[in-house]
Amino acid sequence: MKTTQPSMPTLEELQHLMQTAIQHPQRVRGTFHNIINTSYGIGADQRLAIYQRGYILRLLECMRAEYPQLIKAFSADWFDTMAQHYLASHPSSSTNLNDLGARFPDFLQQDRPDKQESVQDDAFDFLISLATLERFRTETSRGKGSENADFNQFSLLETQPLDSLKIELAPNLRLLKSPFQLVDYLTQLNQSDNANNSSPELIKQTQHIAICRENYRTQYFIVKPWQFDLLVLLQHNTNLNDVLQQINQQYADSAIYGFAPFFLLQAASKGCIRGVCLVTNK
Amino acid sequence: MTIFNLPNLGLGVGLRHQHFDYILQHKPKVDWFEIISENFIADHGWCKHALMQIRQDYPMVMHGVSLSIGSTDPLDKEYLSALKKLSLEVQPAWISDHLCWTGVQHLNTHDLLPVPLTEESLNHICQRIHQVQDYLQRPLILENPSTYLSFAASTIDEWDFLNLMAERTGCGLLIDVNNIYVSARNHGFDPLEYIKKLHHQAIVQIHLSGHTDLGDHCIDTHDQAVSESVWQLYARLKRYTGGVSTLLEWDANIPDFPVLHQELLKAETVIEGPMPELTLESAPEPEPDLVAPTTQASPVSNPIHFVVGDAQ
Repeated sequence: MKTTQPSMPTLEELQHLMQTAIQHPQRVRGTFHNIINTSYGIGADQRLAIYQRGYILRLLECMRAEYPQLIKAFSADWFDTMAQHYLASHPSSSTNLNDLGARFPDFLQQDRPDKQESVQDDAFDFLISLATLERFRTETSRGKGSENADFNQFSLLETQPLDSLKIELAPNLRLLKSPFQLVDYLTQLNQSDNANNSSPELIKQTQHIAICRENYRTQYFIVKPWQFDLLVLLQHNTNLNDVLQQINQQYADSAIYGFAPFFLLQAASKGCIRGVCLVTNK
Repeated sequence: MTIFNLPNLGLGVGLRHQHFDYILQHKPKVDWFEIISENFIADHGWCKHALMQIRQDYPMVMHGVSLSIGSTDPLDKEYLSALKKLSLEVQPAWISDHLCWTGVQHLNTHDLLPVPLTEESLNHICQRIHQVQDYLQRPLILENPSTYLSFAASTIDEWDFLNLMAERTGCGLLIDVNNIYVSARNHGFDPLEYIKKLHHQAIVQIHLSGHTDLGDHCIDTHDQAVSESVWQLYARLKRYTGGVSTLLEWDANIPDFPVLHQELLKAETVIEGPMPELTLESAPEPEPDLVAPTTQASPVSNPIHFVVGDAQ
């Protein structure tokens, strides 16, 4: 054993100092010269820099993996700059990296340069919409899905009156109302990638997207406005009769009641629904 | 259960999602797989599904990167609970993590940060190992990390620290011979002495991986084949231990599975030989203008195998 040096920080002090140095290098410049051994090889700053560089590059790589379409649609340099700002203000507090990019769409919304202006720029709306879609895709991909659902129960949608049913949506279903035809844009973006064609066309027209997972494959299911609202309501209330009444009032269209079973069967086949059962306490 | 009941699983590789389909289709002749626990703790998608299918055919070990055994923050009970839950599903042969800390103030740097090797650290870490082992109801296996800095406050050599830790808590050791090599190059100790002085009966597992040599220092990048020097160190440790479970890690620039498998199989045939590149006495101090070129602009230590993926 070697002898310890006097006036060294405690373990707790040292860890707080080192974490600050890694996450905010500018705050603790030069502090480490008496703390880090420099008797061999490279200097203290260079040693610390390995951790500082590794920290940001490692997390940046995770952000890039979660938002590949955003990088394609804008640019890698722009993305890296925004992601670094985001990581500086939203350091990870989780033991895994699944939530690292969770608040990135909100961050982009908060950070938009036109947020004080009366007329907002479409480009930022598009950016935030695309970021939200990518985050939802990640959540759907990793979340609890409907793969283990008993498909026999979905026949209740065909055999029983709708007002007698309860619907449990898949927990990983995500719903996005985009001001743009986002799914079409992404299809073109990825095709142009392959064929090296011109930039995809972005059409400003509302698109209602259910992000769902069927047999462990995440997909975009484009739905009509009433179908979208039906799913939104079912996320909070499993009683189908209550929900259909609200939809009927909202859309004043009695035909919806007739179309609903077909839509729900289609949604079930795409993994949006995990369970259907009879209401027992009517 | 003690570490002495733990089996020699043979030669395994780190399970990475790029290889799921290949493994499921071809069922390659690998003795076992090691998973990164954190990649599956909160996953209910394709990766977890594939993992459980692969588990039916192969023994597995759970290797974590977020236990933060050296941190002065309280142990994360939520994490431990999730780890235990995953272990009940996966039924691993053992659970391992690193001698390191990953963050304080409830933040996580997702890096394996070095601890000062002092009595204070040793007491703190041993106390926490006891808590973890009591909770998990099994011995914890801890790995020596690769390090890029050491602390002036340190009073204990790393091998002694590991030995004392194992002696006081009954935990096992996962010895990463590449990490020993990387740290030896970065701090100037003799890796052969390190290996010789370890308590070999406490070693449960060995890790092998590749690193990036930058001339005046090395980075543990897990992005290439195992270097000849590391194979030689492995041969020596294999002789000292009499052979224990050995695993190849590859986390960046991941090759196709057959290439990875071939690299692993070298462990069967490796024999001890001269190590001209290995000992510090023979490793020349590089001239500034002779620094070896790096394979990437900024090699990243401890790369994360971050999973975003669906079924193919």
